[in-house]
Amino acid sequence: MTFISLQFLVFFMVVTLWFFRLKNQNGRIWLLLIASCYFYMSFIPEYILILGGTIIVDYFAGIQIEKSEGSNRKFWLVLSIIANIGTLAVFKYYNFFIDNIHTGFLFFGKPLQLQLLKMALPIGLSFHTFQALSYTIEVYRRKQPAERNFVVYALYVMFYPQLVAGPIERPQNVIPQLKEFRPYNWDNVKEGLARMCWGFFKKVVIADRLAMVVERTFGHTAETSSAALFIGAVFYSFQIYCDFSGYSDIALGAAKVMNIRLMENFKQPYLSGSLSEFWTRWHISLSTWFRDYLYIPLGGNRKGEWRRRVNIMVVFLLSGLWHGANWTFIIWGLLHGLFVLILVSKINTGNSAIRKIFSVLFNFIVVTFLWIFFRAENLAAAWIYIKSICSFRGGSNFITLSPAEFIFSLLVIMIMLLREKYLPRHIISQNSRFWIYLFSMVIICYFFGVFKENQFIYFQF
Amino acid sequence: MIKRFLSCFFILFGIALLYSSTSRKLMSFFKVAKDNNSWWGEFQLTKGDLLELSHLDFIHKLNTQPQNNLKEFTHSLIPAKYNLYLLGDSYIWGLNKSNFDGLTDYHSIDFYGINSFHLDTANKNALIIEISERFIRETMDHNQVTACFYDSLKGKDSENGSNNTRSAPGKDHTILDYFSSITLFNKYINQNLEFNLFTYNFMLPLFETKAAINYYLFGRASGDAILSDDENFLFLKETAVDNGPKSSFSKITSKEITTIVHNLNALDIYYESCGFSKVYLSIIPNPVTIMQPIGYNNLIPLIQNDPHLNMPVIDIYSIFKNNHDVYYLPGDTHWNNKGKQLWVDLVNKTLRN
Repeated sequence: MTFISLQFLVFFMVVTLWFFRLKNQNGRIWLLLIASCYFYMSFIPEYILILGGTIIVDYFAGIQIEKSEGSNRKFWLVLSIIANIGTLAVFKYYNFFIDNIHTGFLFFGKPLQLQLLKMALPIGLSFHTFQALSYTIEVYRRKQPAERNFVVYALYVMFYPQLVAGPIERPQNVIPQLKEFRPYNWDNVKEGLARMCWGFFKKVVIADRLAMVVERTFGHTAETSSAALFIGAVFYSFQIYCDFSGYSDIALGAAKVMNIRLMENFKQPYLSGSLSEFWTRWHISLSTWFRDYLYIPLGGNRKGEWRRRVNIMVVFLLSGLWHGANWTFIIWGLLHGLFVLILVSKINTGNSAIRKIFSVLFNFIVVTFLWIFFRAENLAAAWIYIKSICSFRGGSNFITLSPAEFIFSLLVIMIMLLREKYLPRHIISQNSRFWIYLFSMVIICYFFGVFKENQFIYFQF
Repeated sequence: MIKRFLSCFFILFGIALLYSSTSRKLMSFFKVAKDNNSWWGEFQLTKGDLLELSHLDFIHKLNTQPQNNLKEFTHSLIPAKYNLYLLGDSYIWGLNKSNFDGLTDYHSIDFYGINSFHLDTANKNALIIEISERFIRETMDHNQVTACFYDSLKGKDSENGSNNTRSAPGKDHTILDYFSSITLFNKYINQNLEFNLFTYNFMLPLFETKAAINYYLFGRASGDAILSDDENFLFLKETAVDNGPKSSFSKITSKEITTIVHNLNALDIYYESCGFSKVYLSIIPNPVTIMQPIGYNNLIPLIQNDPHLNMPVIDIYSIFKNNHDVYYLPGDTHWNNKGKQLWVDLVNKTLRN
C-alpha cells in the first residue's frame, strides 16, 4: 500500500478515527500495531515473518543488554547486530556479492556455478533494520532503557507512517510518545493533514510529472541531445527530492495527526552552499545515524586529519552501499565523500550574496551530476550519460513533455522551492483557511497530478 | 454526539469498503448491480476500452465502432479435418465455427477461466494458444509458468469429476503460498476501490474534465492510455512506455527469451500428451508494436525465430508489419475487422496445410 493510493486514504481514515475513539493508550498501541502489520503485509504478506523475526531478536537482546554487564552485554549487542545486518546481507547484498565473485572468477577464466537468491528485497528493509539497530545500540550505551512492553517495541519498529521509507527514528524520540496518552488535538490534525497534502502535491504533481522526462532521457541516452540529457538530470534531482521528501511529509503529517512527532528528514537541501551542508539537510535521519553510530565511534575528527578523511570516506562508502547493492550506489557514495573532502574549503567561503548564490548553484550542479550515478542502471550507463552531456552534441530534444507542460513543470518546481523557503511550516490557525487550503490541494492534486501507481523511489531501499 | 456518530459511521464505512474491495464475490455483485444507465450506474465501455479509460470521448476520430463482420463458411471448401480448440484472450472473442473452414468442431476457451474438455479422438484435435504480446513476459518468463495455461484446459480430470487441478510443473505449495492466498491482500484492491468509490455515471464529468485539461493544456492523454504521435490512435500506456513487462520497448535479455521458449515448449509437450495432434502458438502484437515501431524490443520475432522453439507458429506479426495497413481500432486495445479477418485467414490456411 503506497501512500499514493486509495487503499491508503481509506486505511488512514479508519485507523485515525478509531485511534481517537479509544480512550486508553494500550488500546491505541494495539490498534497501531495491527494497522502497521496490515500496512506492511499489503506489499508482500510473507515478509512480515522476516520483520517479526528481527523484532523478536532485538526485543530480547535489548532486555538482556540492560540486565547484563561486561562481555555478556557486548555479546547481546553483537547478536542483535548480526541478526539485523545478517538479514540485510542475505536479502540485499547476497546476490550482489555472488555476482561479483562470479564475474571475478570469469575474468580469470574459471567460471563458477553459484546459486543466486530468487527473492525480492523486503520493502523498506534498510530503514527498519537501521531503526532497530539504533534501539539496541542506545540501550547498550545506557541512553535508553530496554522496552519491556513487546507491543510498544514492535510498534517502535513498525509504526506504519515511517515503516518503509523512514525517517529512521531514535527510540528516545518515539517510544515515550507511543506510551503517553495524548488527547485529540485539532491543531495537530490540521497541521498533519496540511503537511500530508503538501507531500501528495510534491509526489503526484511534481515528482511523477518529472519522472516522465527522466525515464525518457535515462532510457534513450544514445539518441538524446546534450541539452535534453542535462534537463533530464536536473529534473531527476527535483524528482528524487519531491518523491522522497514528499513521502516524508506524508509520513510526518500522518503521525502528527495522531499527536506523534517524527524527526524532520529534509531542510531545503538544494539551497546548500556545500556538499557537507547538503548532508545536514538531505535525509537527515540517515546522515545523523551514520554520524552517531559510525563516524563518531570510528574516531570522528578527534584522531587527526588523515583519520578524519578516512572516516568520512568509510561513512560515505557505507552510505552508498546502504542505498543499494549496485556499484552505481557505491561510486555515488564514494564520490560524495571525495567531494565533501575536496570542495568544502574551496567554495564555501565568503559572505557576499553573489558568492552564496554561486556556491548554491555550483553545489546543485555537483549534486545533480552525482545523482546520475544513483539513477543509472549501471556504471557504464552513468558514464555515457555524463559524457553525452559534456559533449554538447545535438540529437533528439524530445523529452515527452509539451512546451506548455515543460513550463508548468518549471513553475511548480519554483512554487515548491519558494514555499519551502518562506513558508516551511504547515500551521494554518484559521479553520476556514485550512478548509480552503485542503480543498484546493485536493483539486490541484487530482486535476494536475500524474497517477501511474509509481512506487516511491526510496521504497526499494 | 454527532461527531461520535460520524466517526463511528466512517470507521464502519471504511472497513466495509476495504473488505468489499478485496472480496471477489462482493465485487461481482457490485458489478452486476451497477450495470445500468442510471446516475449511479457504471460508465459503459461502448466506444472503445482505451477511449473509456482515458475519458477522451470528445475526440470523435478516436471513437470506435464495434466490428464483427467476418467471412463465414456456410459450406466447407475442404473436408472437415480438425476439432479446433482456441485458447486465448479477448482478441478471439466473437469468433465462431462458421468463421473457420474445415472444422468438425470448434471450442473457444478463455484462459482467464477454467474449462473442461473432452477430446473427440475420432477426429484430429488442434489447439491454438493465442497470447497478446503484452501478456507473454508476465505469463511465460518464469520457471513456473502461470498455471492458467495449464488449468484452462483440465481435460480428463474434469471428466471424472476430480478436483485435481493441475498446477504449473515444478510448483510446490509451501507455507508462504498461504500468505498469497489471503484475499485481504488482494492486489487489485485499488482498482476495486476506485470502482466502488468513483465509477458512477454522475462522476463522469470529473474524469472528463481532467482528461480535457491534460489534452488541451498538455497535449496528452491521462490515465492508462497514451496518444499516438499522430494523435489518431490510443495505446495502452503499459505497452508504450519504456519499461515494464508489458512494454514493447523495454529491454529483453536472451535469458528471458530462453525461459519463455522453454516454457512454451513445456506447454506444447503437455497438451500433446493430453491428445492434441497439433499445438500452435500465435502471438498478437501490441498495436504500438505495429504502428509506432521505432525502438521495438523485437520480442515477437525473438520468440518466433528462436531455433529451440518446437511449437509451430501462426505468424500474424510479419503480415501486419509488412502490409502497412491499419489493423487496430483507434480507441481500443483490440484489432479491427481487417486485422481479425487476416488472422482467421491465416489460421484457415495453416489448418488446411
